[in-house]
Amino acid sequence: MNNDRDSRDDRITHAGSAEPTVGDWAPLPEHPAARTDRPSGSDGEKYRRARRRSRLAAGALMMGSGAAAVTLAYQLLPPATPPGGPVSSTGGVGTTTVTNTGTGPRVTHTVATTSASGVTTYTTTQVVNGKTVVTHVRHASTSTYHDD
Amino acid sequence: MTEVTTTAVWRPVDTGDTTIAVAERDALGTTARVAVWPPENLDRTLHVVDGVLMALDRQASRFRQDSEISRLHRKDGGTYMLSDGLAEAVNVALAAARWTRGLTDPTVGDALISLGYDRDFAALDPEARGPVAAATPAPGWRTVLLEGPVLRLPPGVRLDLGATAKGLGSDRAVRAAMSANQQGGGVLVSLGGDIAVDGQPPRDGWPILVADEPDPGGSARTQEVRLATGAVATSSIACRQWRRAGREMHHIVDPRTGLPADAPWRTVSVAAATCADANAASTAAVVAGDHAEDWLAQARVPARLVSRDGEVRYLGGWPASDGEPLVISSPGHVYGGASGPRAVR
Repeated sequence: MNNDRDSRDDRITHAGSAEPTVGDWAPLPEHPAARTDRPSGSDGEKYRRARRRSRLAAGALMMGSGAAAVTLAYQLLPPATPPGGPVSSTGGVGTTTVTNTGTGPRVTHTVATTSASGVTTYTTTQVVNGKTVVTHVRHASTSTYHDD
Repeated sequence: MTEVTTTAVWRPVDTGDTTIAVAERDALGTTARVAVWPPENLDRTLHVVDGVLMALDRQASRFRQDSEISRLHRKDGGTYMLSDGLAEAVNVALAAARWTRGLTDPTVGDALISLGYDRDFAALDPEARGPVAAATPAPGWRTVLLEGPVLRLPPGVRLDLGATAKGLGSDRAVRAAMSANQQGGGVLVSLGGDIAVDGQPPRDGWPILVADEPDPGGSARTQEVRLATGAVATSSIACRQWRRAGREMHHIVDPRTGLPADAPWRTVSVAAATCADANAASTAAVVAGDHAEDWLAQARVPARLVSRDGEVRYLGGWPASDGEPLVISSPGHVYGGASGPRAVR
């Protein structure tokens, strides 16, 4: 595919990523374990189920971008709660109470720092024999070089 | 004097607690740090965090010529089908711009380049004498249209996702780590000081140092807080400084002027439901300048501000004393109502 065609004529151009785009997505095969939990239907039922899925897919395409539909569905997911995590109740800023279930380890020393972080490296990337080679170069610390 | 390495190697970090495992490595031009419990989850966690960091770099680094975003910029305007990962990164940056009312804006890419920030920061000449191009306001995030994975970018607009990308990386990393560990234990990921946690925290939360500088030593402006859920991020004009044509520059650009933000606050730390939210809010507060406190109050996020003369101010329930928990009550904004990124790399 020629990725360098003029992109100002309203044609959609792929940026050239090696990753699959949404348009490349395909449904994953059903997990065998999931199949065993389900009563095996007759061929007619399977056919009707496939027809229903097909109609739903066609409807989604008619409604617009399939990716937009995926995004909307994803946005409807409720916020995830860590299993066994702290329980909180919200009563406005500064009034939330957090009750720790206390099953985590006791940690007494600082684990990380949030700050204007120091520059450590810069990275150069070359493609050699079809493989990407990443080189990190670390500068000796100076009083000038900092990073946020 | 430089030291050249060809691989990014995780280095174990001894924090003094044996109930957790901590490691760090260079990544994204800064330092990535991972802490997990139980310690036996470390190897698996580092593996998935590696994947997240590599993918984010390939998608969104404007310093890599082979990144997806650099390829977009070389085409100079048009309509593009993005990878799932870059689409999410751009979507988060645009959502952050909407939430901060343009105080953060991904279209500041050209302004940063004009100011001399045109390569990885460590490769900058800190005393470059070349002329500085006339500053112009950023084109504005509203000129960029994203519909699902389809991006329409006007000619001449270069994106810089710096206000959200590290936060997004931390959010992705903790989510991927918890998935790899089958939701067992807990994890903390810090990308250059933008920290997200997930899973079960240690008792009383993860102990985190809040500081102006990466190696604060005995600075009086440090504070220890405890983070049980969500994230914390810091933006500062005290670092990533360089000079261009005799003028002092820093990397937080005011989209309204195209110049480094003229901020009364040298460092702003924000706690939020997600790290991308915290990252965006702390950057927005620096850009907001004299209006930072008003904006943070409206955003309802706990914040700690350090003025240029060292005065520390606490807002929105940020604890004023050491060892207290950071309590986050406001929902996230930049993931469109979801609690975090999709499990994409």
